[in-house]
Formats: sequence, structure tokens, C-alpha cells
Amino acid sequence: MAERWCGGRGMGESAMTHLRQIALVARRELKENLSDWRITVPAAVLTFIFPWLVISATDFGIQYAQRYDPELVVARLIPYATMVVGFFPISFSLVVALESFVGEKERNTLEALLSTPITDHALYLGKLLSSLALPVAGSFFAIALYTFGLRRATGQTVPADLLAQIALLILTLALGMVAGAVVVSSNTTSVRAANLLASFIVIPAMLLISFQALVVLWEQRHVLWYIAAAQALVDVGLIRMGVQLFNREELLSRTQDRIRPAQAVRTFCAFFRAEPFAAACRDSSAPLSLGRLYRRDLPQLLRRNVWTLALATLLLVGAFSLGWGFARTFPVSSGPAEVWPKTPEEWQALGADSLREFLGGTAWRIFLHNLSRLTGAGLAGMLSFGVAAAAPLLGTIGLLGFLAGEAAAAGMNVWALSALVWPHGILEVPALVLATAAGLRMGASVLAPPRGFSLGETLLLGLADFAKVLLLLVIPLLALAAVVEVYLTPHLALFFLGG
Amino acid sequence: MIEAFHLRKTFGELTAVSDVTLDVGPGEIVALLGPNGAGKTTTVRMLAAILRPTGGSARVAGYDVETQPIAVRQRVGLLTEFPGLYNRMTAWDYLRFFAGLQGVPPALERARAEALLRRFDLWEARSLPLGDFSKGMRQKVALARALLHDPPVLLLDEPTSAMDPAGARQVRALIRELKEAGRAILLCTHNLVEAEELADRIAILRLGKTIAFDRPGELRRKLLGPPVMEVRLAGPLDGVTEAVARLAEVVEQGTDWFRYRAPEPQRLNPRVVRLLGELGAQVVTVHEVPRSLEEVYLRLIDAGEEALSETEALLWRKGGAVAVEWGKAP
Repeated sequence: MAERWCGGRGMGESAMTHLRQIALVARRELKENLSDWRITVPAAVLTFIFPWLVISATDFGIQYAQRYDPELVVARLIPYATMVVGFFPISFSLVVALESFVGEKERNTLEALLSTPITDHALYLGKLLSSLALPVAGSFFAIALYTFGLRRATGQTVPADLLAQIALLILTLALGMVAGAVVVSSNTTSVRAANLLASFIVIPAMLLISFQALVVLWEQRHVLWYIAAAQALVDVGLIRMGVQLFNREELLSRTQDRIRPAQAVRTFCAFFRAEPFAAACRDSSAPLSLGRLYRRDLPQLLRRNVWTLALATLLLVGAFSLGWGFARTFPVSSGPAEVWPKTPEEWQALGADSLREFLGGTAWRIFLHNLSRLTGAGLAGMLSFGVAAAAPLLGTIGLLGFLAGEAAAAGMNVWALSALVWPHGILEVPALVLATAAGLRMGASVLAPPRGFSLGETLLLGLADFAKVLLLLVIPLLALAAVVEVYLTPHLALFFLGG
Repeated sequence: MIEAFHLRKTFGELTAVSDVTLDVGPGEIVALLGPNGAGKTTTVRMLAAILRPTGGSARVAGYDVETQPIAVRQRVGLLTEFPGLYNRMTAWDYLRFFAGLQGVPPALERARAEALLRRFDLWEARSLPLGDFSKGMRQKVALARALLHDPPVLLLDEPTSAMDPAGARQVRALIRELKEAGRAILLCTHNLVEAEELADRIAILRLGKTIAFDRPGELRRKLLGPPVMEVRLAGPLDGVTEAVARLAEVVEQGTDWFRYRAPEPQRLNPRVVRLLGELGAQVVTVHEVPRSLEEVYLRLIDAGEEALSETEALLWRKGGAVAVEWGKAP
């Protein structure tokens, strides 16, 4: 059995050795961080002094609020202040992580580490733990200090469930920032470049914290559990991505931080010209032709996307059910069902032209609208692990389910109404599922790049696959669907609805 | 102990190593020479199982670098080209840390670290942060790190580059000791005198390819021709060279000296000396004209139609890669 290069345990290597290596790396890094006053002094201020300032501010706020609505202010101010106290110290996790991962590369200390028998995974985990330990411990200690001090100063207590929520949010956010820092570090060769790229982590983190603060101020604390769960999911994705990218090959291959559009275009074209399976192995393929694309590339793409196709189908069913359920649970008082024609005569009076206008106008407009939504969502999926790629499907089908639910609630014949959709939907829905599946895979591919592929190459490979699915299936289906929607659906709908 | 067959490594469009074949036996030192960008460091990284070869194969200490990288790393001591150290750590902590990572039993960690620090005259400085160390001291610490786990194979990239003459001498002596102890040593260096002094065999890389691999004497013979002997007489030549020319090719001459090529010195030299005696010439000295490894190296690197500047070499590596789309050989 071959040992694995990028992780796992080597032949004969025990789990204990693995843990020992992780502990060795984490301990060394932690000692290094603790010996650096540029990290310890600000961290100490935020951990030991800042909570007391917030306690004073909270006390002042409570005193001030006595004349208005003390209970309301306390209910909002204390959770908010606890979050502030907890979140400040974890801001260091990003600095520490960037220093730990890319700093080693810059100072030429990494190769010595890589020459030891430590696995890539153990090295990654050791660095991850050491980057998390100090900021998270500081954050928890600051919260404990705030909770204790607040009780002594004002007699107010921080609810235990709130503490659990904040602890979970802090842990998942810090983990996300550190795991994100690894991804950033893997694509740079200097701390300077990594710091510049770190805005991709800082800005979403800031927005997330602001959103969490708003949730607390609106007293919708149960939402924090969902946010923590979402953060944990993102963490899993980022860690998976980091584990794939943090490997000897990738770390030592990258020597420059240049963007080379011409090379990116060349690489994309090369991936597009090759058969999907061959492209992932950088293998040679038969010459590109339309025949080959349909005979060989398309079956390979469908096999490659089988899981995301299943997921997209599940999402389709789920979105429809959710929309339907939503309409039944929260019916709109003057909903769409109220304004639709009720009798066959009313439908006939509406006429095919009005229906055509209602459905979208011209075939060209419908086609461009659908294609731009799917393409845009697919591309947005590249930056969101594929999540954004599912937006058109969830939105369209969810809305469809909602309208169907509304119609059913109003006692209308849903089966007859479906004639407004199914003639072109037979073509459009498969196109939607295919594009969503390809977009999901393209975005999610960064979580597990093929062996020897950089992040950029992985995205370009996914983009080439996505483009092929669009060209070979989605565009023809959408074009046909648009023509059907304009020239056939209105007549069929009138035939079924108008008696 | 080290066997590399047609090793190849590409990074995207860049060909770093195109075809490297060499071997190093136990108790042998092989010097890996080549201009900057020839692929020495990439070759060493592949042999240390840090980088995976794109093509070819290599076994180190009996293990395949591609399928058994951890076993290889356990048996290789690597001194990297730029041995960065953790500046906040002390030399003692640094060696203990790496001993732990290399799997040195805890009971042996201290003894190994102490022995190496003493061997490199660093024992007294063991508690100082590495950031305070001089370049030479840092190089010694890095070398000590490579030796911590007593590896049977050593890959040393410029081991004496930052050292003063005394330090370099100390390291060279250590390398000889390690060779005597049966280690297989691959030495990357630009110091040709050092390579000549230490190496049993020389491998020369150019544009990522092994262009020569042999014993220094054989390389000289192959590239510079048979040895050239110089004879100095007490007086003028007086037609001596015409007589010698019947036995050997006279390549150069002065007023009281001449040089001749000696394809088989053991057979030819006694005959030449005998002839000179018969001619009544008074021989002062007979010695082989020294020919340095530098001559051999420069002949290989600079001569012929394939000679390229560093810029041209870089362009070749990039251009060569265009032809190796998908990592296939051009």
C-alpha cells in the first residue's frame, strides 16, 4: 500500500505519532506567539482590560436607561456588550494564522519542516490549533471576566444560553477566519500579499458580526443558532479546502504572486479542448469536435456531476414543497390567486397575447433572461462553494410552489393551471437542474482540487466543465423552451384553462 | 542508497527538471553541479520526497520517493539551500523540536542534540536565540538538524556556502567522516574546489538534464583528453622533443620544458624518461599538468552549440514547457 502524500497516516505510523507531531507543531507555534510582544500586548489588553471598560460602559448604559425602559435596554445591551467583548480578541486569529502559514514560507523555515516525516495534515492541524488557541482562549477569558465583573458591578447576569451561543459563534468564526487564512496563504508567497488578500476574510467577517449584532439588538437570539450552524458549515468547507491546498507540492510550487490573464485563458482553453476526465489528469484527448463533445465529453460530465444532479433534484423538490407549504402557512391576503381569472370564460377573454406578455414577451428576451440568471449564478457559485449557483433554482421553483399553494388554497384547479408551466417547463426545468448541478460542482470543486491542481486551475477546470454543460445542453434546452413558452404555452394554457 | 531514473518535474508550464539519472552508493559522495536554474534544488526536493516527480522514478534508502514518501523522509537528512531558522528559538529548543518531528526517541533526543552542538562548537551558545547567531553558526545549526536522526542518506545543498574558511573546513571534515561511516551523500555546490576535494563522482546538470556523471578523473579524461605531462630539463631542449614526438604527442614546449599527452601514463612515462636519459638530457622534474574540475565544468556548460546564457536557459525552460502541455514529454 502506498503512503499518502498529502495526509493520512503513513505506513506503520501510529495515530499517537500523528497526534504527537500535531502537538509538537502547535506547542512550538504557541510558544513563538507568546514570545512576540506585538501579539501578546494587544491580546492582553483586549483580554484583561477591555472587558472592564465594557463593564463600565454597560453600567453607564443601564444607569442611563433607567429613565426609559430599563428592562428592554438591559435585554439588548448586555448580549450586545458580551458579543463585543468576545469578538475583539479573536480578531488576532487572522494575523496569527497568516503569520503562521505564509510567514514560514517567506522566512524559508517551511522547507525544513516539510523535509521531516510529518504529514501535510498533521502540519496543517498543528498550525490551525496554534493559531486558534491564543485568540479563542483570550476571547473566552474576556467573556468570563465580563460576566463576573458585570455581576459584581451591576448585579446583572448574562444568560447561560447566550454565553453558549456566543461561545459557539466565536469558535466557528475564529475557525473560519483561520481556515480562510490558510486558503489565502496557499495562494501567496509573502505576508504582505496575504495581508492584502485577507480583506476577503475580514470584510465577510465584519458583515457577519454586524449582522449578529443586529440580530441581538432585535432580540431574535434564536437566529444565532442558525448563524452558528451556517458558520460551522462554512468552516467545514474552508478546512476541507485548506487541507487540499496545504500540501508540500502546492507550497513549494508557488513562487510568484502574479495574475496572468493570458495564461489563465490558455489554461481554460486547454481544459475546454480536453475531455473532462483527461483534463483532470492533464492527459491527452482526441481532437475537439462537436461529435466528440456529445459522444464522449457529455457522458463524462454527467457522470462527474451525478451527485450534484441528485442534489439539484432534491433542492428542486424541497424548494417546491417549501413554497407550497409557505403559501399554506402564510397565505397572502390579496395573493396572486385572488387576481387570476377564475372561469374558462375569463381565461378565454384574457387571450393568448396577454398570456404571452405575462409569461415574458419575446422568445429572445426569455432566453437571454434565463441564460443570464443561470450563468451569473453559476459564476457567483465560484466564490461561494457553489451555494449561489442554486439561487435561481431555489427562487424560481420556490415561487412556483408558492403560487401553486396559493392557487390550491383558493380552491383553483392546480393541475389545469400547470398548463401555464409544463409545456416549456419540460425543457426549462431540466436546463435549470443541469445548470445548477454544474454550478454547484464548479463552486464546490475548490473544496477538493484534483491532485496537483492549484486553486486557480481547479476553478478554471470547473469553469470549462460548466461552459460545456451550458453549450451542449442548457443553451439548446433554454432556447427551445423560450420558443415553446412564447408560441405554444399560451395556446395550450388557454386550451386547458379556457375550456 | 540513492537511485534516480529519468526524473522529471514540471510546474505548470515550467520545466524544472527534464531528465535526471544518477545513483549514490553507501559511503559515497556525489557532487551535483550545475548553473543556477539547472534543476539541482528541484532534484534534491524530489529525492527528499518533498516534491513528487512528474515522470521517472527514484528510490532512496530502498524506498520509492513517490509511493513511500514518509519512509524516505525518515531516512534522509536534508540541508536546504536557504536554511531559515526560527529566530526566537534557542539552538537547543530548535534541535529538540526537530528531533521530535523526526521521531528520535525521547531518551535519545537530548544526547543527540548535545553531541551535535558540541561537534559544531555551538554548545556554549545553545541557550541563545537563533536570531543572534552569525550566518556560519546558523548554517551549522541547520546541518546539525539534518543529522539529528542519524540518517543513512544526506542531501546537502551548499553546506559551506555561508561559512568562514575554518567553519567550512570543519564541515568538510564532518562530511568525510559521514562518508567513512557509510552514509550516501549528495552534495549540491557551486564550489568546484570543494566538489573536487570531497566527491567520488560528479553529476553535472544543465537545463534540468544530467549531461555528465562520472568520476572526476574520468570526466577530465573524457572532456579534456588524456593527461598531459610536463618535463623540465636542466638545459635547453636541443631537439629532444623531436625524439619524444615519436613516442607521444608533444603539445607545447618552451626553452627548457615541453608537454606531451600521455594516454597511458604508466606505460608511456617510463619510456619517455628512459629516452631522455639515452639522449643525455638532464631531467629536473616530470609531473602531470593539473587540470581542474572547473575546466571540465566550464567545458560542459559553456562549450558547443548548446551553450545558453541564464536568460536563454530560462526561456528554454518556459518554451520547453509549452511543448509539454499536460506534462507530457515534448
